[in-house]
Amino acid sequence: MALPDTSKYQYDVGQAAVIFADYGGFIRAVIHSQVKNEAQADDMFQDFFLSLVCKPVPQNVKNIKGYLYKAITNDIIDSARRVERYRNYMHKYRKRLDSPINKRTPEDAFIFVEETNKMFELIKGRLRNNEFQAITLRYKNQYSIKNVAVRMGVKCKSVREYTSRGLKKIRQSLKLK
Amino acid sequence: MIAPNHNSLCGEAKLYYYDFLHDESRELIPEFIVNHVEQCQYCQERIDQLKVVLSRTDDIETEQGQVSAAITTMLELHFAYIGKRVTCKTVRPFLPGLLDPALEIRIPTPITAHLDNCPQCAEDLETIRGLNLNRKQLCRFSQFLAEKPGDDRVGCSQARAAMLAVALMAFRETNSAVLKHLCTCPNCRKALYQYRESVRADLLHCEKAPKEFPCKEVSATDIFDYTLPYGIDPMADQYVKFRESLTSHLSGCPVCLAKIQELHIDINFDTVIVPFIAPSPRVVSQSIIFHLD
Repeated sequence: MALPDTSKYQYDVGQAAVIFADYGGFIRAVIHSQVKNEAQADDMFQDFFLSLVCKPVPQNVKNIKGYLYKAITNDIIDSARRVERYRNYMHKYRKRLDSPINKRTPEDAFIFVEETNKMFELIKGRLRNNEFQAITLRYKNQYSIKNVAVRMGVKCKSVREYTSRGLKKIRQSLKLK
Repeated sequence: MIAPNHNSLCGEAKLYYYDFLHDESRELIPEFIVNHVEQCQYCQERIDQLKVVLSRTDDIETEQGQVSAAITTMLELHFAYIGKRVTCKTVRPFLPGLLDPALEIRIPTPITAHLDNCPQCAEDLETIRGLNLNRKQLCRFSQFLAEKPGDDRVGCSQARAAMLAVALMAFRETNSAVLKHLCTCPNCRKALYQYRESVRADLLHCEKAPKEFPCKEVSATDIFDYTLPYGIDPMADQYVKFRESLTSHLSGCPVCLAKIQELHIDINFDTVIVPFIAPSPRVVSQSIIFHLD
């Protein structure tokens, strides 16, 4: 496999090292002014070295400190966005994990699904359409009230009313039997 | 004054805080940012804070500055291998440095990328970690691993003459160049190992019980300098007197000498420097190329 021309990389690494040697204290101070966590600040300091290797300070820049300040601030904003995005992913993932997981054996799971379907077929004729839809989404599909409301295109309050009324009707019909 | 709203112009204005501190760069600030900052208490406070922090920069240039400089040097050395093949041989001199907490490399580099993918190098790193060496020892060990054999002007005969003094840990009777040669010359290092082994055998035959000494408490840190006296300048060692009781015990105790010999093998790895002890064979030397993208 042919290796890439590394001379440009070497030059950029050297330039980044020169900038760090001359403005190391300034770089650290700017990072510390924006990042309070010591460990995170150390990470940012080293990240910024790599950032300068990837994108060296242009030759025509006169105010190097001004340029460095903007580059560091941009890096910190980027990093904060990345962390936020990662947190959101984790939040979504946790939500997914929170939804019911089929912990039954395949046979039991199949029987459970069949029984649930039968039960919902039975109650279908006893409830109004809205009530049936709300109960199905809430208790069969295990959606949150907010999610049910979005899917039905109604307010959360209405969903609560539909499910409460539906459940009352089901209880009454079971009592009669 | 307007209330801080991090979603609005404050975020954009943040990029210009430094420019507000310098008259010459003020004209580069967009007008809407100037207008915003003039009315925003939050931004003004931030600018004042930045001013204070930057004014302290010169005072901080002490220990932290030295650490920053050392980290920069380390990063420069690591990133010098971007786009190049990184083999186990390349990584070896970096291993001790990676264990210095003050110089911790916190981002992926060509060297750490190799380490993550090479179990043998990871094992070597753990071996060094297990020695619990101090910063100076780690630094000297790093330099030793980077050393190429035959880089010195001391002859083997001169080094052999100093063998007894080195085995008895009387470094004052020799000098740094000889000590360096004894570490880097494969033949002399082998001879030193064998010499120590014969001293140990004599001590075992002698059956002369050494004075009571907590041999179990003698750690790798205590004996490292006597096992690998690379980079030690006996003339500049001010603390030699404080170690006399330790060295007199080490040189006369077969148990401690065995420890030294064991360490001699442990820090050997499979470097070309000490090829006389058969290392565990490395079937394939991992070769990894690190790219910026």
